[in-house]
Amino acid sequence: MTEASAFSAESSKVNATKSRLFRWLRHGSLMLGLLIFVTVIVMAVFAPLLAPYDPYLQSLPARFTPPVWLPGGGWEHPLGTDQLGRDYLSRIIYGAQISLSIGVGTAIVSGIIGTFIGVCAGYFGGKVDSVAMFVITARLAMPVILVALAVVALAGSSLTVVMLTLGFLLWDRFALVIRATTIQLRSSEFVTAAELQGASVLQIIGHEILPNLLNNLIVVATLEMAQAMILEAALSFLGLGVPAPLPSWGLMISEGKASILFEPWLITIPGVFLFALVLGTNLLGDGLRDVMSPHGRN
Amino acid sequence: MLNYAVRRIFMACLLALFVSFISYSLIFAAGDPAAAVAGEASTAADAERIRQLYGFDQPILVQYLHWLSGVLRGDLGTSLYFDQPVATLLLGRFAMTAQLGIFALILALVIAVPLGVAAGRWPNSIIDRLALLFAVIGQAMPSFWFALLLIILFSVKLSILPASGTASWQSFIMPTIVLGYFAMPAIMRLTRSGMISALEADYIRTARAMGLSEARVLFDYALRNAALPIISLSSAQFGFLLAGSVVVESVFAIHGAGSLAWESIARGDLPTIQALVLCFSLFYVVLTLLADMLNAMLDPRMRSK
Repeated sequence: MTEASAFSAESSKVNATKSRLFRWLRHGSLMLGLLIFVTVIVMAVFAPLLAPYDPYLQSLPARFTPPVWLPGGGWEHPLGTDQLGRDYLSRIIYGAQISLSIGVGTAIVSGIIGTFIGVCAGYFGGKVDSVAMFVITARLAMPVILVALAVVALAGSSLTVVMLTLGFLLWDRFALVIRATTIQLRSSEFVTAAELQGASVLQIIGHEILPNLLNNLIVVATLEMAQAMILEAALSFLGLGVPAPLPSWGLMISEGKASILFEPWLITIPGVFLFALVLGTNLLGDGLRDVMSPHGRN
Repeated sequence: MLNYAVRRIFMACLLALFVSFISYSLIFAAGDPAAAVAGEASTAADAERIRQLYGFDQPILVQYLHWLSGVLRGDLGTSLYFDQPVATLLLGRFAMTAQLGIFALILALVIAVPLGVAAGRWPNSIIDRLALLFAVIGQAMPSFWFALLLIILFSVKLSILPASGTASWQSFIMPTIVLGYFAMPAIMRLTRSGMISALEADYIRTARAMGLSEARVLFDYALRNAALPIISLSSAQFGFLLAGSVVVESVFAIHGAGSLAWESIARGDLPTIQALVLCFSLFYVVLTLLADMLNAMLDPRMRSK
């Protein structure tokens, strides 16, 4: 009897894992998002191996070589060269490092701030919650691009400054989602049980609340990464993000703008990569929400 | 209702005050404003003179209160670049940006709401899939890149639309499309989910049982009940649209508040930047206030919140 029940528990566990895996695999857009995201990670990590040229190597005689599918292009520079004769493919590959580090860095900074605010608001409620909601609304009222531009302009543009600035501006979604989840968890039975056992507030938050927030944190972090990558590109496009000669995709579009009449591919190519990365990251985030939280399904 | 309105307006004022202080100090904390004003070729002595002239040597709170007392009297300071009052400068620029924002919001609503209604009426149908695809692409499209793609297609290749400026009504077509598409995905998704939950309600079954036409059920009953959150979201989106105009205006060379913001930042024109940040935040605060009021008028349950 005990053996049989142990066996059925075991097999149902296997079934659960199997059905979860199946749900992941069957979710087409999640898989597409994952594929794009992993591809860009591979590009970023193995950039020195993958890139055919040094992304900063200028060659003025080879300026404005068109990509391979246009007349005049060749396999020597599959995506052509830019206005300084730098190999566009190599710059695109190295550009993945910038987008990803901005995405990850911003998600970490904003995740810490947002989780702190959200957990405090949701756990303590009352006055603390009112203050937190006020701060969140205030943050939403601030024009992100404008404040980010001004701060980066005054602090000096660098990868770190952009990352920190965006991190300090994009925590609102973390705070709102974490707050709502914490309110739910706060009234759950296992939190009450921990309270009755005499656990301290920090113990409850650390052992009962935070581990249960993990799924939501991953989902919001993914979506927030996409937001940060698009904003970094916009800031760099406006000339107040990542400084030249770094191969930020936004900056490459900005540099290509001067050649819009005759070399429009200088704009379209980095844009396609940026669009694909943001699309993939968003699909990944939406898909993870679908498969991980029972509420988000349908 | 009056009680709710007074409380809500008081909160909005407090919010505006708080936001203005945060943005004021954030910009000052980011670097040395005197050095930024003095420019790159200046000496330390120049920066020091400017610091004293503009009062940058005083504590931030003192400077902020001084600035705020001016703002309350309608004095936003003098632009360091144009040498004219910031308030005069902003008025004309904001008229242009607001015009563009309204066009974009109308376009977004005209496309996103019917699409959302259709997607919510027939979930998982072809039209729902297409609407979702449209929204997903919109969310991933960097607006500056989309703007350049439109320029490449309509101005460079086909030469049927002007690439920049505001000389004719044709100049507004591409900026409106770019900004409008930026606002569409969120409105579409909210309309869709609102319709789905509204269509499950008992009063819809009653309306159908009474033999009302499908169009009346959808638009008079379901959409009306899904409309409240759409109003709130649209007003917030309008605020984001205005702030998003920084990018779009710079691409299309439109002389609105957004391009003024970008130029002022590049020139280190601090009084203008401060005033612009204040105005953009105030827009958002006032818009969400109006949306809340409208919601409270339409739905008494909201007042107790």
